[in-house]
Amino acid sequence: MERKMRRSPQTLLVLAEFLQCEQEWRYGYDISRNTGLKSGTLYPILMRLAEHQMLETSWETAVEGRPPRHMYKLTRDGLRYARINAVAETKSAMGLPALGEVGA
Amino acid sequence: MTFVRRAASTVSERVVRWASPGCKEWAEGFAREIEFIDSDWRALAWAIGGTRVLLKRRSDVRPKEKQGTGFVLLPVWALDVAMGTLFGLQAVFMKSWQERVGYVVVALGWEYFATVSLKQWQKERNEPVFPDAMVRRMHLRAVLEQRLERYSTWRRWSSPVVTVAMGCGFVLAIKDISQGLNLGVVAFTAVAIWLQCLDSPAKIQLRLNRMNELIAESGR
Repeated sequence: MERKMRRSPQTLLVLAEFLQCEQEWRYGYDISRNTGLKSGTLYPILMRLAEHQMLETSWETAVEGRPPRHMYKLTRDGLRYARINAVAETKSAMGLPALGEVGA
Repeated sequence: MTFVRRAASTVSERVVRWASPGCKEWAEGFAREIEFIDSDWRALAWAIGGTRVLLKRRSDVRPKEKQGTGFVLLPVWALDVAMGTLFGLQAVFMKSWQERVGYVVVALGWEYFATVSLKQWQKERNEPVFPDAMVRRMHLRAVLEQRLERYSTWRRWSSPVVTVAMGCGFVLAIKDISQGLNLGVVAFTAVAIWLQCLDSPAKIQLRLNRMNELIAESGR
């Protein structure tokens, strides 16, 4: 059975970020900086999107003296899903503490 | 290369090495980003975050991979309970009171974090899905308000206090502790507290204001 994609506020943030420049390849650190998400939150989301065929990945062509970087772009399905679900304005409206809730 | 940058590289290399075959490419992509982060401390935070990716991924994929074998990777709260039990048992077998007290404090600390993780785990499992953007925003605002409220109560200090207590417990528990290990315990405690203090009432208030603006905009 196919697993359903979770629409967490963080996933919506990432989708909204991809919608900013739909056709461009994006780097992990840039997405993290723009959304304010930590690497530990961002990568599981990217991996989940890729699992659902909503995200394609590619390696940057190597330039001398610079290691190639992993790049990400939404697929056509991903763009459709993002447009339906991602509310671009929720950007920077949410965030999570580093080690869970305070005294939860 | 600074010590912090070297530590970041070491951690990210380990992440790549320990990544399961399905995650290898992701781990490598994640590790390469280190080179493009200007601040050393941010690079270290990025690398440490990657270890969480691996743990999360492993707990996500293992049960599926090992279907039928009866193997299920434990959630974090269960590991915390196990650690608490382990340290608790250790306390029983200690001869000196100092070591016993140390181990009991550490065990209670683990149990506290097990409770926090369990609550978080249950919350994530029961997270509602809102088809309507307005309702979702209202829900997020309620979550932020709840989080802000916690900062005005004693609960705000519970996690850092428990972390300090655990650090002290370790120092007591390891009887012939060397100077180096002592410093290690202090450094570990300091980093754990710093991570817990990254979120502040001011930051939450800022997000709350933004969310209120969004709700007002949608209402127009």
